[in-house]
Amino acid sequence: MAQQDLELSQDPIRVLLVDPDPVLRRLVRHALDERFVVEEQTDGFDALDVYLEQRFDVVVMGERLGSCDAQRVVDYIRGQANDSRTFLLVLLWDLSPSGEFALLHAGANDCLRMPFHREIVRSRMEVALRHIRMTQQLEQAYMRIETQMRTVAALQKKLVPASGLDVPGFRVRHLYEPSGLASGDYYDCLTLPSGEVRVVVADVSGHGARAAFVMAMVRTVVRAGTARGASIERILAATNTQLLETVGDEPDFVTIFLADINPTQGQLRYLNAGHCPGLVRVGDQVLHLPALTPMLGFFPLEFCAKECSFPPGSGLFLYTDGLYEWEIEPGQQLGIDRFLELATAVVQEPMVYLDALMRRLEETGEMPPVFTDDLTALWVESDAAWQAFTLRTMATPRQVRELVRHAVHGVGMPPEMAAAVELALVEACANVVRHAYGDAGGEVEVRVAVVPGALVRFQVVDWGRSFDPPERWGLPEENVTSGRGLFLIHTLMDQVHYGRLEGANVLTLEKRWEAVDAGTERRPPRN
Amino acid sequence: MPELSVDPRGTEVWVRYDGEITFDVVDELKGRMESVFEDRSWKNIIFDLEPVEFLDSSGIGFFVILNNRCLQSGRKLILFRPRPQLRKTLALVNMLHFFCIADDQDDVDANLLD
Repeated sequence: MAQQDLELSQDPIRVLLVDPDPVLRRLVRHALDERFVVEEQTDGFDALDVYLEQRFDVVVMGERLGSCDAQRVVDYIRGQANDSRTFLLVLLWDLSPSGEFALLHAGANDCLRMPFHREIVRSRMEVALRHIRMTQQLEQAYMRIETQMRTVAALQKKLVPASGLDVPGFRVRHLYEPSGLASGDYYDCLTLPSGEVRVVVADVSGHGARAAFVMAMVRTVVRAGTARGASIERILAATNTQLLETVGDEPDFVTIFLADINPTQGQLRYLNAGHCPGLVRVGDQVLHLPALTPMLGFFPLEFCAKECSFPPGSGLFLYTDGLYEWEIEPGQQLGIDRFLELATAVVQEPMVYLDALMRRLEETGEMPPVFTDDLTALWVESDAAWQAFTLRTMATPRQVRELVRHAVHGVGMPPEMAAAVELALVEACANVVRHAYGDAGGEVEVRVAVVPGALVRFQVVDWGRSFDPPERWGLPEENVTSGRGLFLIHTLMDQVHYGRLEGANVLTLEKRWEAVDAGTERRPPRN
Repeated sequence: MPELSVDPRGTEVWVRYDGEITFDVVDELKGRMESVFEDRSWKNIIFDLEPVEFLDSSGIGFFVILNNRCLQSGRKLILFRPRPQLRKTLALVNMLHFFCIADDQDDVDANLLD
């Protein structure tokens, strides 16, 4: 940082001059110019009272100060007052070298033996002045760094989900406690257009702004990849490539656990790159999902996801190493094995609460845990009420209309919600009938996933021509006879997504139970 | 497909359809309405929607076609007693005020005088 960036105080230097001898005080005072404002005291304890009431830059004191001595004053200022900033200059008369050493050891900045020339006092005060200016510069530089770090921390807070992660059909609990202002931990929980839920917990080596920067990079790759429909394998490969390109020759690395949960197929696909084992609760069993590859950021890696069963009601627990890398007694860390024992017991509870885990950690050591690393934990539990069914028919008007009727009535929604959903689904299926196959004909499939009382999701699937969804889906002019279907779909449903998957067109429509509003007139932009 | 009934009453013709008006039936309905339009003896169509429980964007398009054809030939289309659900659908696409809608005979008469 350039020195001219710092704005040094132009205030006079405040000096507290303490000694019973008026001659000594006069001698010192005459050595100081107008840059110094001097307050005189004759007694050490009185001087400390004044010191506590006012702020001084320098305390100049004699050896003996009436009711106490210089050693006591220095001890008090550096010790009880915890003041390392004030410059302390002691004027010695007959103190032994060991006494002088004791003063310097206790925190005096300088000692000056008498008799002394006025110019010597003046030059020592110049030293004090430089010391004070340097301290001011350091304080300002530190404040600027702290301001920057707070900015980094405030931005980083926006990179992790806000409290109360709301993922329909899932119960999500999370814990996130950075050890400092900025953190290298990252967690996220994203709903995919397919209806799957993508879960991620990552840990960047180190702390502070550097770790926060790398964490932001990881988060960007995960989020951007997810938005583009990338698989977890491709996301980890892209993350590793990015890390190798940017910090590959640095000591930074990232451990990460990334998983896709398909609640209706009851399946979990995961990758663990050097991260601590994830825990999966299926029924009353708890499985450990250990690392499948080394950590990211050191060398090229290939990723091959593993799968495990994850039926409705199952849960996934992910965390970072800060939860077990703390001392339960001096020199002994809790460690991964004991942590896994505790965590396994907690995730087997019917209702999993992360604060219950923290309570168990607190009860484990001799004293309350002192965590020195970032703490992140995430519990994602699939609702036990997930149901799914699939209907399929030829894409003819009559058959498709009948299929929609069965799909909607098979869910058991409240009448108003059912009416809204049926209209959106009719519109979606009508588009397949009109546009997907032409004269050749083909099939249409409707996949239904529902958590009664929470969420319903329909996927309209056809194997015909791909569909290029318009970026805008406003309404046509009133006297135009078509072009309102997409508007109705988007207006009636909470989430709409089109994707092409393995040769099929997949239009996903999602509606939450409580968000029923089919009667409000909207004022959309006109095409 | 449920029956479309056509009931001429003086200079009006009352059309009643008992069923859903959705993409799977609108092509047939358009065909059936051709013969109604060929009859030049009436001035206005009153389409009785009371039995209609469901209307999609194709159904709305069907009524826009009817309305456009009536306007072209100096006639008037009145939608009679649409159910609340149909009103909601029309409101969603900002078409509730595009059509002449009547809830009873007085409404019909008032609309025809406009």
